[in-house]
Amino acid sequence: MGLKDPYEVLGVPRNATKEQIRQAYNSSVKKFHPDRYTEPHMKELAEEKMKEVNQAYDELINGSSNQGSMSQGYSQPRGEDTQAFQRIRVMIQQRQWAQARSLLDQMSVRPAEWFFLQGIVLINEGDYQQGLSSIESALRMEPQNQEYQQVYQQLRNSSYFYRTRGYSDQTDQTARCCQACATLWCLSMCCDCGSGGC
Amino acid sequence: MTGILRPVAQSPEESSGFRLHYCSLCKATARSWGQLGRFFLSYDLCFLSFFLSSLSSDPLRTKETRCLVHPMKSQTIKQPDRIEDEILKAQFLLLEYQLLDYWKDESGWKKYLAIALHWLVKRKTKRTPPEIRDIVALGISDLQEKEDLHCYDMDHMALVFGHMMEGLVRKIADRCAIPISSEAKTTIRLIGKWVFFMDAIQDLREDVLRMRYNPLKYQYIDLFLGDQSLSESVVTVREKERWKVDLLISHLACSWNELRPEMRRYQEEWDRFFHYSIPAMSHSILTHGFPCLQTSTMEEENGIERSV
Repeated sequence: MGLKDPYEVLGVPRNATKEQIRQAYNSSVKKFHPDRYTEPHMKELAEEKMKEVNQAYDELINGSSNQGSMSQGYSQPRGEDTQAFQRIRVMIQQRQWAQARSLLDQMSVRPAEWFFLQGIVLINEGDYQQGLSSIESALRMEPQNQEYQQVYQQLRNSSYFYRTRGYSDQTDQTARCCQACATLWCLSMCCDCGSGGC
Repeated sequence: MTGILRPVAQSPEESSGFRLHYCSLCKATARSWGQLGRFFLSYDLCFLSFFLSSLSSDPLRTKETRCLVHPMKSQTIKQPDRIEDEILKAQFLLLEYQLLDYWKDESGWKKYLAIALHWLVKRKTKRTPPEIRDIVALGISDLQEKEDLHCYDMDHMALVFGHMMEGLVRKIADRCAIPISSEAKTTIRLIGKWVFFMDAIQDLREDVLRMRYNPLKYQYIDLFLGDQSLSESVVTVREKERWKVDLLISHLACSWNELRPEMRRYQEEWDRFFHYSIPAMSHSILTHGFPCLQTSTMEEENGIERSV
């Protein structure tokens, strides 16, 4: 459990200057100051928001945030990294989440593919929000990548397989489960639905 | 626990296994705690009893009996067994923590009632096996620690709860000599996660108003401080969380598919539970903010098809 992304908290772009950060901070302080609220529950929320804003400002201005992360993220994968990504994809297909995660953690170069695969691993480990954020990062880096787009759309507009199929009989279960897996493992990446198993 | 872990059935026959275990646990509660104890009967613990009993290789023994709740028509109930005994202990241990929570959150006469009940329950839960007490205490203190930090990470909090539930089931199964596979553990962990999710979504409005902890409150803090009314914000949060609930249901469906061959009894009832009750209950909470137990209403409103 970490702190919220300071850029998101202050609503500034990742390449924002210190001046822009200061301006965003001042406007957030004005907007969310607890004295502006009369109801106790709103006051409580505003106090919490002010804590977030102060922490985010402190992190960005005092330089504890990782300014280099994006430049690192945009770096191009080298030959050995491409091979590593292939290995990670195989691990994902074999549902070896811990191994895939460990290999991802060891990599120093973090291009879009890294964020995409990390997102898939996180989602399958049950960390849905972080997983989606990771896939969003991959999309920000490579907005034209169709695979990323498709997975992202599938996640956000996850179809209600249970609404369209519903409960019927035993024969329908394999189909339903495969559909569930397709949502989960993202476009049959890890699910061999043809064999009827998941 | 929330009481949402129960089958959504069209007829009593569709949930006969669950009812059998529910009536049995109800009777056991009354035996152990007196008639008033029935008020504290938990659907969630009954679910766990049904789950473990379905995994057990011991034959299921039933009997016909009347009780205070059904004085005229006799009901078929499960005969007391080791699982029920262990579940009963866990039920009151969780009640002890729940009352502690009320003690902390409530004010006025409710607070004093919680204190009094807590004192009574604590005397009874002294018999709880230490390994079960430890696992629950560890889970609760982990949750409490994160609550104090105002953790906004719903996935993380729900997973901590899921792990606690998994640990509880594992310990009870050990004590009853029921082998628990990794598939069963995963399923229970996901069930715990789902319960936590649903509880947070269901209680969101009340938690914001009463200044109680809820991870969604902190995750969507900007929304609550924005121009929308509280009710509108709650509806927006529910919509924003829908995709996660869908994924969780998918996770559960896959997990159940792997666990299914291990279930020795009531496979069809479990199928209905995982493929119909959970999605239907989730959809109802996401749409209306409360669980709907009328199957026909749910089908009409939510467009959930069901043909048996």
